[in-house]
Amino acid sequence: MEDQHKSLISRRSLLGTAGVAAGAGVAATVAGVSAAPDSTTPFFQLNQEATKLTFWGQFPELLDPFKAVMADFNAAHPDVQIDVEMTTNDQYKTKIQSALNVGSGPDLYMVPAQPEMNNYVDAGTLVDLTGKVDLSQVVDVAVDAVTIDGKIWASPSGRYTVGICYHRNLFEEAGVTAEPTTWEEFRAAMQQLLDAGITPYSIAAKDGSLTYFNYIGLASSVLGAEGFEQLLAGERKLTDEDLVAVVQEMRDWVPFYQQNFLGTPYAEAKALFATGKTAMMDCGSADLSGYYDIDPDAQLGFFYWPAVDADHSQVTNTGMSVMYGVNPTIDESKMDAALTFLNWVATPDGAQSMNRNIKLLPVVDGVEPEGDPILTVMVNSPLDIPVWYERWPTLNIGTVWTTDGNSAFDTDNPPDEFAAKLQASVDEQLANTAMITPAF
Amino acid sequence: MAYSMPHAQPVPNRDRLAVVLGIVATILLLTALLLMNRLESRYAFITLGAFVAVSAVFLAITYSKRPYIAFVFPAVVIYTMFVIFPAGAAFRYSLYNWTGLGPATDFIGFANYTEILRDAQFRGALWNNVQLFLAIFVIQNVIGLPIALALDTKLRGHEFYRSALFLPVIVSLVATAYIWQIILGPNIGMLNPLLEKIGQPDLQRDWLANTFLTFKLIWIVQAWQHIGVPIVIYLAGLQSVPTDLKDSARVDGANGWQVFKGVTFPMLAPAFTIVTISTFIGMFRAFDIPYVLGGPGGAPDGTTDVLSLVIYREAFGLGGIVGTQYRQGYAVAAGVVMFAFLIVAVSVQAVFLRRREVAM
Repeated sequence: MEDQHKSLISRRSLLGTAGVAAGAGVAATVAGVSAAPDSTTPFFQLNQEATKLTFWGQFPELLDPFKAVMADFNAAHPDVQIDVEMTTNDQYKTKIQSALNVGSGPDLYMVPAQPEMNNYVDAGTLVDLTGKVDLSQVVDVAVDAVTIDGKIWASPSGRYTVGICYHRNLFEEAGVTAEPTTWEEFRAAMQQLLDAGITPYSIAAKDGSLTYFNYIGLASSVLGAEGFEQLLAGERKLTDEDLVAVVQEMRDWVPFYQQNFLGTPYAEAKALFATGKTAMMDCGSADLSGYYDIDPDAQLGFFYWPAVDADHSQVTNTGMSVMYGVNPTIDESKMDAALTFLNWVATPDGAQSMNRNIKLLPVVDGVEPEGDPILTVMVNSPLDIPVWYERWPTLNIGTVWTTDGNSAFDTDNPPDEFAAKLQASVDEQLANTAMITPAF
Repeated sequence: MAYSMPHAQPVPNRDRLAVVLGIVATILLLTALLLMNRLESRYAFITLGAFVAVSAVFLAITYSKRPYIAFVFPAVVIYTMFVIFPAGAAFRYSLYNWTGLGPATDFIGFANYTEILRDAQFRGALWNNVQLFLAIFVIQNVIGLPIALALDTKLRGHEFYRSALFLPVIVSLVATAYIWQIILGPNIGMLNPLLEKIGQPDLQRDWLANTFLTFKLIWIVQAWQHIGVPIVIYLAGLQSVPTDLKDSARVDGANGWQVFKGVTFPMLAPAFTIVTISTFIGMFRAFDIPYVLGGPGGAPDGTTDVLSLVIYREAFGLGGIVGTQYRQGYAVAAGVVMFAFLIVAVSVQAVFLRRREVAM
């Protein structure tokens, strides 16, 4: 028994001593590790030939084009290398938010457009670039897109424009000789296609993605620039008669959509168009490279959203697609390299590289889009209105189309009922303006 | 047993010291977690080091009289770190208007909770979860239990059938959903062309866009995925039913149905409890299959919406195609409400089903 007791004491003492030692060790090690970077960083840098930066984006399908842009930059600035990591669109925001919240993440990252960008600014997850990047050659709309409270928060390097893409060969096959410019001409063209046995229009209603773009395109053609501003100010309503007519017009197009369009998600609608099974689809400049990947011989054309009538202008919707921001946790020694890149993308060389590789519309004055002539058509839009989700009051219109969009096509409900749901989301946003950043 | 030693007597001072050390260790652990939560990593790790040291002394002191504490302690620490503290932190976030980025600073009290109570999409999703549970509960018992009974008779090839029926359980939920999308999809689906081939074109539907049918199809897919679990549980229960009881009943003149009703089914009560509660929890956690088949918006028109989808949508948006607003504070509040609902509902079920077990 005595031996057992001694043994017990011994184990207990051992456990206690080991625990204290382990605790002290953890504390000491961590304290030491925390102090370590200051002493090792200079040595690390001496062994680097080029400063390496990391960049996160949300277009895995454009990984190689982005790498090509980085290669162009590296050719001009051999002392800086940028590693690109892409995450799927639906995962990207979760990933970047999680990383930024714990003070990690890449050196550079793709920043969302406003109004979401405000969240990143408010959270202190973007470096203020005012006076550090030269945006003097960048077009005003792009500078505005990265300016909040008079400060610059990102370097814009690509925009996209949305209208309607079509297969020129299918149009020819159906005898449609001119691109439609009004709703009436558009309906006539779709009827011609249908009569020729061609499905006129690819649309995705299941996730509300393409029905949404269709709606904002047609509604923009009704509103014009002034009307859109009035809508944002609450002076125009989506329940106005001429805007309810947009919902009705979309209903009238149902015979021209592919079969079972209500259950079709975005990817399937896109695949139908890309493989030539439908003649037209809502389409942005960023989509083109994907279509040519699937069919390099595709004979694509593009026209602006048709106007409600000959008295109105055709329109396009434009948004910002690539804006590079800097993570505040970037190592000080890398800051100059990051700024070199951000300044480069705002030059004609950078804009041309972005345009050539990623097929985005350039944001630098005087830089004509290269390659596909469709991009030039897009740039020369007669009237360009922002994509609606880049404005606070109209931010959640897309949510209504996603969660409730099928009811827009329910003939048992009058179209003004659905228009009222859309307007309710605008009213809610306008009422919540006080909750968001003072920039709005 | 003559095991008398001076140290075997209670030592009040040592007990008091143990209590004090236990309290200090708890405070140190919670402080370390709080510091980690605030990204004060250096101080957090130093505090964690102090916690380890104090805990070691605490365990050394308590080991002789209460050795079980040393065994329970690591589990309690891990549970605190990964369950209790995050749950507390989540509740804190639910009191803020927070987008998910940066620290939560806009305190709004219980505004998120009052909004949830008024939120039609939350109520609609909750009702869909209830329907989903009821549907799967019925399917599992109407189809799963008879299958288990059949397999229990050791029919020819029963091992193959058992494996085949359990196979969907081990398939990833997302994979299951995509398999069914390939069957039901409007453009790539196999079902519509099949109906045409067999001369039934009138039965063709836009299966994933039908406000009546789509959610029912999700029931079927969920049932297909999960039915292997109740079958295995019931089978285990059936194998524990004493054969002599059933034989006695038969000797007393009971027919097959009477044996099942009077002997087998009451003996299956514990299995029934497990199946019911696990189904309830599983169907309220359903996410992957509704997400793939109904989309993030619960298409068509919210008829396939479930609570997990609402929470996901509020927290992470709609996938970035059409722009959206991020309200992680609201999403966390919805998660807390769902958690509280599940705790209450499962507790009530457990009490009711346990009483039923005793009564049977």
